[in-house]
Parts: sequence; structure tokens; C-alpha cells
Amino acid sequence: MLYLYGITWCQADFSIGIAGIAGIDGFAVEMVPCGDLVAAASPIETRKFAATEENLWRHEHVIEAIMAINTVLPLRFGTVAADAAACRHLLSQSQRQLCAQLTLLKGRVEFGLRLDPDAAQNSVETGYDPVANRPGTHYLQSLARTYASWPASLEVTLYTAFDAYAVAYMLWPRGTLESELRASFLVEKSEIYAFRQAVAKLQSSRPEWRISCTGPWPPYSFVESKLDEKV
Amino acid sequence: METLPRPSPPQRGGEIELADLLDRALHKGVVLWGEATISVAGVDLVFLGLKVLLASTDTADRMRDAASGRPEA
Amino acid sequence: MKKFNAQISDVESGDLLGEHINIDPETIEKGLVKLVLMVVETVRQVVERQAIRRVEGGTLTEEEIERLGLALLRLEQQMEILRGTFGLNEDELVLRIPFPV
Repeated sequence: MLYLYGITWCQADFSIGIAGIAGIDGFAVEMVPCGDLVAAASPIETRKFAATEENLWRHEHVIEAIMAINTVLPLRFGTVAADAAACRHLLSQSQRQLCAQLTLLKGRVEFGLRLDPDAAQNSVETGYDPVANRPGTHYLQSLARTYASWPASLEVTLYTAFDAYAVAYMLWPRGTLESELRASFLVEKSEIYAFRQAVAKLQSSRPEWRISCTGPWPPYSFVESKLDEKV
Repeated sequence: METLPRPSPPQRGGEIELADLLDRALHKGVVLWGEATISVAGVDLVFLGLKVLLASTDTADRMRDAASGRPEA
Repeated sequence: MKKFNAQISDVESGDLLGEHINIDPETIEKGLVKLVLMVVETVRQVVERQAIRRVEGGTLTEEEIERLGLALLRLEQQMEILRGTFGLNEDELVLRIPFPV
């Protein structure tokens, strides 16, 4: 069986880039070509493996090693093909869409933003939290915020702050107990510095918000997840 | 003339980065399905992802708890 | 800057048996459990929305709010355990109802 990490153009020589990179369970990465595309893969033995911190970072590091060489479409964690022939079959059946997406994402990386607009309220300054002993009430407050969804003004603020530096953005759906807004931004590599400056500028203009930024990531959030299987 | 603030430094390592990685690797990215795909990480993957994504704090503890409490394969 | 709208197929994981090659007999069971939990989850969310409306209506005492909140919190925690036990994601239990509840 082969564990699959990501898909890229079959043009560059990856051998140096992936040398020494350990995949899931420590196996070496190999490239499985199919037409214009190639998949980064590594053999796995067990049918069951866990989403441990270690395996997740291995998944990520393989994709980043490829990203250093060429545009890469990251695959979701846990994709396994029976063998190389099966992997080629998967690539060929979605070839057109995969190529189209690689073209769109050329030279672009992802940044993640977390923004807690209530951070100031939630922080324990005086040490007395009025809802600390009322978990039921606290839960209802969180719920009310969730169902109200994020205020439009928040999205406008983000748009204004990053429009000049990002190509695209998406907001993550808000979970029941989430107090943080999560957003992903697609940024041209040449704009990375400017984007980070924009984050710092937003934070300094809104000191009561708790903002954190991670990246650059491979463009996980900006691929079409489910591809049609019909060719 | 406005002086631009220094760009925020990248936050590598730590809970936030792990949480962001989990968001992406477990819920985004291309999903390749076909007769030739075998998803092996089913229960472990979903359960762990769910547990961890509920809170961005004490992520490491939750992962450890989930890992030790997982049903046997 | 464009707003990226991912395909909603991310949430449409109703295709239980077609997605995996899964040779565990659990698969069939999981299909039924998932159906049941989908209904339970939908009802739970409807109840939560109702509760919020009542709280916002301003007619409940602090104690009543706390009791209501606790009950819903426990329910949510139970659902989380059930989801974990059967390996189901929150997204998978969403019923796509075309009208607001």
C-alpha cells in the first residue's frame, strides 16, 4: 500500500528535495508519475494508523518539501492507494481537474489567521469571572454567539485589511464552542512579507483582538476537495 | 508618512500551529476517491480530529488523552 | 481578493458505503447509527436555538438559565462522546434542511 501526500507537475527532479524526508512510519518518499502529474507517496504496512502529532507533521513536511520545488496540491491526511498502479489510476481519472488546480495555485501559499474579538472580555484581569461558576450560562452565551455567526463588520474589516495582499480568502465554519474566527488567505509568494505586515498592522489597530497568524502553508484550503470521478 | 509595522513573526511550533495543521490536514486538501482508494484512518482520524478541534487550548493534552483512550484496532 | 467557496461536497458525506473500501462488517451498522444520530443531532440543534430565543426573551431567571444551559451542555457532551464512539464528524450529522429551523 502507498500513503499519498500530494500531487505536483511531473517536470522537476524531486530526488534531492525528498531525500532524507521521512514519511508516515518513517518510510522514504517516492514519486509516482502519471502523465503530466506525479504523486508523492511512501509505502505503508499497516492498514490502521493514527492521526498522531508525529504522523500529521510527517504528512505536512513531505508536502512542504515538494512545495519548495514546485506548486503542490496537498492531499487530505489518510489517503492510501492499494499500489502504484492504483495511484496512477486515481491521478488519471481526475487529471484535468488536478492540472487546472495546479495552474491556479502556481506561486501561491496559504496563511492561517485566528482572531478572537472577545479576547479582552475573556481574559481574567481581576481574577473574578462572573460566569466561572455558572458553566450552563457560559455555554448558552457561547451558543448565542455561535448562532449569531460572525458579524458582517468583522468580515469587512478583514477584507479591507488584506484585499491588497491576498488573492483569495475563506472563513472557516464556526463550531459550537469556538470563540475564535478562523480564516485562510491565499497569498502570492512575492507578497508574503507585505501580508505579514498587514497582519501586524491589523493587530496594532485592534489591540483588544487576539490575532495569531501561521504559515506559509501549502494551499489546503483553496483546493476543491472532492473531485468528480467522471472524466 | 506612516511607518509600516514590523511584520508579525511566523509562529512555528506550539499549539496554535498544531491546531492550524489539524484544521488543514484533516478537513481540507484534495480528497482522492476511487475504487483504488483505501481510507485507513477512519475512526482514529475522525475521533481525534473532533476532540482536538473543539478547543484550541490544551491541544496536546487532548491528543494524549484521545490517543490513550482510543478503541483497539 | 476573492472569497473562496469550497464545494459543499465537503459536508455531503452522505455517501456512506461508496466512499471507502471497507471490509469491516461495522460499515452497515455504522450507516444505521449515523442515521439515528443525524436525527438526534438535528433535534438537539433545534432545541438549542429555541433555548437561546427564550433566554434572549428575558423571561427566565438566572437560575433557570443556568439549569437550561447545563442541560444543553450535558447533551452536547453526550453527543460528542457518541460521535467519538462511532467515529462520526460533526459535519456528517448535518441534515441539509432547505428551510431555517
